[in-house]
Amino acid sequence: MKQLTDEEIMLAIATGKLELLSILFDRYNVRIYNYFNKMICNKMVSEDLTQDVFIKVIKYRTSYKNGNFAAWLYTIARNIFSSHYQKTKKERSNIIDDDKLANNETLVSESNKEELEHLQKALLKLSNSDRELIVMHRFQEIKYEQIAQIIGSTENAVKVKVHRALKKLKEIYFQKKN
Amino acid sequence: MECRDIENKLTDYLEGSLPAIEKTEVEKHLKTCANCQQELAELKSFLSVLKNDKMETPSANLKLNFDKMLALEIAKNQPKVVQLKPKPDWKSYLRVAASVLIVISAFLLGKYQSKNKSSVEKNTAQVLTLLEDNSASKRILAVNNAEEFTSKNTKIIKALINRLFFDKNTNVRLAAAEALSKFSSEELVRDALIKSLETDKNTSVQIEVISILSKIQEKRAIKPMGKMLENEETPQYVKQQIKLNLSTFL
Repeated sequence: MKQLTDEEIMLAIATGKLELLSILFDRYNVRIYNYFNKMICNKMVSEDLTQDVFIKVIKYRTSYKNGNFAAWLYTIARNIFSSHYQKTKKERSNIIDDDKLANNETLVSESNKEELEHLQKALLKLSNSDRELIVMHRFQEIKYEQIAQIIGSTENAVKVKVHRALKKLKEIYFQKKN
Repeated sequence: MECRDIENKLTDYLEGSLPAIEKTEVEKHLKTCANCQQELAELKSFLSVLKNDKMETPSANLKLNFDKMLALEIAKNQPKVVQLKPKPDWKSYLRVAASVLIVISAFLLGKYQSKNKSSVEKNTAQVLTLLEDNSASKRILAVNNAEEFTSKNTKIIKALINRLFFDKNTNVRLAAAEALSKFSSEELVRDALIKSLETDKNTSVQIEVISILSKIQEKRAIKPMGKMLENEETPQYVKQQIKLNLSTFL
């Protein structure tokens, strides 16, 4: 069978072929899950939010208008993250760091486990928008052009922002370590 | 170029995505700037840490919950489609096909039987009417046609007997006698033939009936035959026929 593009599948879903959503789920669920997990550092909640993304895809399927599907999907994911963030903001307190780290059971080999835990801690010290840029560009390898589409900016602006965020992260990372 | 500008380009420089001109500019600057050299070293090690970070696999629950959600949504959003397009159920198709077949075969069977029955009835009626026809030749035709019927058709047999007793035309009575010989297994027919032997005055009919009765070995015919032999009015050739046939009884 011919490999359908995300856009072709999404248009079919919009016209009622809901069962095709499982193809898009298989293509994107790991990336979306990792986006959330990097942003909030909680596996359970990340799974729930990933599920919410696909529920929203069904709910708003008719509003999809032939654009880049990944960009559309990440826009939904960002909105979900944002509302989740606002909802839990009030509950946030000083114990936030401990809470996050307690949930962080990173599955990596012993040799670089410490390194990555340290990186995760540093990442959580960034602002949401900076963290998001790094997650998208560095971890998910989304191109500047597409990030610009997702966050509603220009390619050059995104490039500069990513560089700055990366520099900040590097500083936090080395500060703590040394 | 200032250090700040260079710093912004170091990531691209490390990943080899800088245009050639900028690349030589950065390299030129790095040779003279210790700060930027350190920055580059740090960035290099930091990027390798980032590269080590692999995507995590979500638990199987995510896929399970998604499948449940999707199945629910499909059921919720397309109830009409489900009702309009039921899964093809071959068993019920077979049932329908079987009942259609039964109805058709019952119809055809009934039609065939009633046609057969009605044709028999129609023919009987036709023959019976023809037997009463004014034309002797038509009555003979009817008698010959009557031979085609089975011994079960008592209406035809009775009509033939009627012809044997009462038809004014000798040839019709002869034909009737011959036709009746086919139904000689019936007691009714045997009685009629004996009665005819006693009553019919025509010698041709007498001779025909004598030969039939001896052929079917009807012992009750011996007595009327003896009477005919004693009767002086009986023509000589009839007596000869009787004598010939009586010998077959013994």
